[in-house]
Amino acid sequence: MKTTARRSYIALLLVAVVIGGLTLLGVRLFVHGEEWATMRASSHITSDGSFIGAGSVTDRKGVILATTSDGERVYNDSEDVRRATLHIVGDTEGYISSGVQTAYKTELIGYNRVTGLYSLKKYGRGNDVALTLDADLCACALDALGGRKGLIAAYNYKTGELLCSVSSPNYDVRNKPTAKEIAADPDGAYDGLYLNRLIDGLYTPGSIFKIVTTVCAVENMPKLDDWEFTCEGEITIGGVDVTCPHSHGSLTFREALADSCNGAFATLAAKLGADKLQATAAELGFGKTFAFGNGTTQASRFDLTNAAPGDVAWAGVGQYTTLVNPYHMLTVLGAIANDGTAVEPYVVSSVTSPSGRTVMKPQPSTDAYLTPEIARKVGDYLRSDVTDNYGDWNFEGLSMCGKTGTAEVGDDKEPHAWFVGYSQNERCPVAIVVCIENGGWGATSAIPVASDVMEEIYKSVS
Amino acid sequence: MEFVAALEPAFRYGMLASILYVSVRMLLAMFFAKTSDPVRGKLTAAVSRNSYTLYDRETSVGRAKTCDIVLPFETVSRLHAVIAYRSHGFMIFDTFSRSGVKVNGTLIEGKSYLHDGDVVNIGGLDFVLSETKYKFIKDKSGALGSPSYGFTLIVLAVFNLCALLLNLSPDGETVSWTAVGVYVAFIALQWAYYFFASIVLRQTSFEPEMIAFAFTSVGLALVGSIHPEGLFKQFLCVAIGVVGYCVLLSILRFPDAVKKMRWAVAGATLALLGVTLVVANPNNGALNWISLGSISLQPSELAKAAFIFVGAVTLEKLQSIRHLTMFLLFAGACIGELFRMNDFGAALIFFFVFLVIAFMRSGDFRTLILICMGAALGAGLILYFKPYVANRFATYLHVWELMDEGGYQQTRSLIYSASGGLFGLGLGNGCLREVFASCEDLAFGVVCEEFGIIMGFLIPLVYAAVVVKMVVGAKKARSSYYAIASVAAASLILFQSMLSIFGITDLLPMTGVTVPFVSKGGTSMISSFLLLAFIKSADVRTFASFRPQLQTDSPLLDHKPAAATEPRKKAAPAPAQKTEPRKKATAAPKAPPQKTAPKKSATQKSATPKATPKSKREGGGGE
Repeated sequence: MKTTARRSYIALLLVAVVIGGLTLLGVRLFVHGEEWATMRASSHITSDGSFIGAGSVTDRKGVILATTSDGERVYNDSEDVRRATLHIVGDTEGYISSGVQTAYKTELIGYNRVTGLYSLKKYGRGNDVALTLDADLCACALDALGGRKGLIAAYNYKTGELLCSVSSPNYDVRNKPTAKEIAADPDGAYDGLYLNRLIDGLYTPGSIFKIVTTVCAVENMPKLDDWEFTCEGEITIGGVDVTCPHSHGSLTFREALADSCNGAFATLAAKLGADKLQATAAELGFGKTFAFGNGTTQASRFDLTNAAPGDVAWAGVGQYTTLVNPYHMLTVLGAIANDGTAVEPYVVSSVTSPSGRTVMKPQPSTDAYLTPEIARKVGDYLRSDVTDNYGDWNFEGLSMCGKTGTAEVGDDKEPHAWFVGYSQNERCPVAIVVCIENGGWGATSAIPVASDVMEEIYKSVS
Repeated sequence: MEFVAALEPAFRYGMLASILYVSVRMLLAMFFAKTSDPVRGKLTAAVSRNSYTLYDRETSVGRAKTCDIVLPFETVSRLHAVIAYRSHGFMIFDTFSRSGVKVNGTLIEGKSYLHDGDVVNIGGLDFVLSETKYKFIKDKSGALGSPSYGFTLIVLAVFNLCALLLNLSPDGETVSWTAVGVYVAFIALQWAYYFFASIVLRQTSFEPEMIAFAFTSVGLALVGSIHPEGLFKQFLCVAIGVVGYCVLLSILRFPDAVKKMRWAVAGATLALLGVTLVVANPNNGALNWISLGSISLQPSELAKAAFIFVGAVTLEKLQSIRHLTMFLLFAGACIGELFRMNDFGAALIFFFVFLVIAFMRSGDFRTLILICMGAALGAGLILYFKPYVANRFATYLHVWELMDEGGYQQTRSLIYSASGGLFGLGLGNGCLREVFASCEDLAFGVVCEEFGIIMGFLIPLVYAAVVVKMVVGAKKARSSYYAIASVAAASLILFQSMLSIFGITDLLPMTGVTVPFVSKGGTSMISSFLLLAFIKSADVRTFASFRPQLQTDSPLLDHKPAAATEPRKKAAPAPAQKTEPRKKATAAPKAPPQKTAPKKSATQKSATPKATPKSKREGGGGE
């Protein structure tokens, strides 16, 4: 019997294999469980392609942007609101990957590792997600954009709440374009249809980059206000011509910024040098991605490695290879407005379970970009831009600061029209970014849009 | 129905807790049961006075170090004989030794019964057998080792009543009286078995059965919820399984009868598989079903139990027939027929069980490696000549890429298993149930989704623990037949569970086999209960009540008052005369040998004075 008993140990090999396999399976369930359980292939979550499992998405006033009703995913009644909030809310099918309905799928469905989808089964729906957005402001911004491609976003730079965000082109979720229509798109009307340009966009900044050059100058040139420049409409730096639309004549630094004189900023950039510019850009968050909800933004790019003096000069006015992400620009403006400390914009204010328990309440992250002195000084220059050049009447009562941009995008295309700015009004601590693709001049295209939206925001807070 | 809905969370945790309690409690009982290891007697060397204790189990005698009683003498064959304590008392088997075995001076042919005081000559050495006298006593176990089976059954009844309430109304309106009837009958079946086994089968422990009932309850709950129309049939098969279990267990009590039946069973198995091949209904590509009127049968399932029945052997067989030829041929024939049925899952299971049994019988790694290589070659040839077979494995490790095609069942199993969380969504709330074969092949996934991942993982872990218990307990099994059969049966159950669970979760290629006891399926349920009988047979307590029990725990009772008066003086010189014993005890005049069935103590007594010149242990000898 001894022998037989000893030979039976062979069966322990099987036990070891089974335990090993179960461990592996357990680890896989732990690691991939969330991904698997929230797959759209799951009938708990989708039915006939409709996203039935998710809870509601509401704006800051409780207006329902998307919800599940009778086993169907339904959206806000107003087409304008549906289009305006499309990229933030996301679509039923999950094409818009940065949309809350996709990025916060797990939270909306209410999955967790311990109870799985039990809450979804019990209450018939997942968690509700409340946004910081104001649906009316978004609709207003959509209107101001007027069908042009581009984006508008505004946020409270003290709290980080994203109040308004519109990305275009967009579509109505009730009447979405078919794959065929998108494929046959003749004039690029559906270019980057599923991208939220605020998060995923990367644009040539043009003159709005002069803010970065300004920060660098303020940091490195104590006697900046004594600096003078005479613009003759064209200047050659390092064998490269830098041109202005017209000759600005004799300028102080303040005037050069207000007039957005390329010659002056190219000269300053050359004077400051690549290293200092690069350092300031890094300080302001260039090259960095930001967490936005459960996703991340594109990183702005500013790279002067091996740049010739002429390239540095052009980089100083926002051309060269520089690309900026609108979310990042909004954060930079917010930092300047908020005494140098950036409160990063966020859009999901809370996740609440069907039983009323707050599952998640994200806290905005903050990052000190600049010292308060430098921030205030830069802010002072930006204020002059509006008062001396764009006209304070565009932003009545807001004490607006800002900078326009007209980004050359090459060839025979119209430039991108930019405006970035913020209100110094205590009651309306809001920063805004407007970018209209191939929209022409910043001052003539972007300012009116920003003006409309800021006016509406001011109305909504007062 | 409202109150059911209101109690739903309580049901969810309660059902999980009850199965958890039963399986863990029973496993603890299995591992911590203090089973007595009754001493049945001892062999005392006539000359050296060395004595060897004989326990309840088979004892091998020979020159080889692997023997239980090692006699390092030239005249003794390596594997000389086996002494076993069978239903009629001691027996000795001559396992083709060179010099043979004599009982009371007569050379035996193959086997002989032994009685108290008999003189056994092994390779020229004389031994005197003394038997122990017994009284019936019960095993004493600690708290962990002796659970209340009645309470366990009540816990199971709670689970089943919860399942009944949840499955009470399949259409949501009318009460299904079939469900009520089946559940009442199912609970009654468990109690009936408990009383029947206690009284008629004289069982004192019920751990494997309780675990089987627990997992059967889980399976029945799923069937009642997903296929209410199949509930009665499923229950019926459980009942048939329990009856089959009792019958098989009763047969297994008699290893000698089993020995005689083995080849008849082998023939019947091959014939049944052959008939299946001829009359089979093509079912999902596999030709493994036969229909008899409204009853359809899957003979390959029954063949599993038969395979172990034929494959396991008693120690004397093991020691006499040292080659595996017959078993190899039988296994080859079975596996070949399964391959022709396209039942690759079953073929794989048979092959695995064959390896386990073959190793336990031969202990020879080289043979097994050769067999495995042969099998690999065969598999290679099949893939070469029938390349479409490989397509069956095309989805393996690619399930997510083919998630709506070949990987549909696997990906849905993973998706929904993850959806259940640790505690499940509750019976009836799952989605995997809608997928094809959810109640059979995908049972693990459905359990994970509706009862929770804890319950899902519990099943294979309990099966694994049972295998460990069988391995640990093998050395105390009464016969190597039970040891081999129990390890093989427990391994089969675990292996099949593994194929099923890992198959649907893409850890292994999907072979479409079921989880024993849990999955829906009539024949497989019956087969699982038959396998349970083998597992049960290895437990020394199983047949203990049919045998005399030792009165106390003391190693060996001196039971002969007459012998006690015998003088002990001769003891001292004994160790010196090592080589002498050969001729010394040949004069064993009294021989009421062989076929006398139950020993009569009266006849024995007369023999004692001469055959046992001393009966005390060494303490006495040193005087």
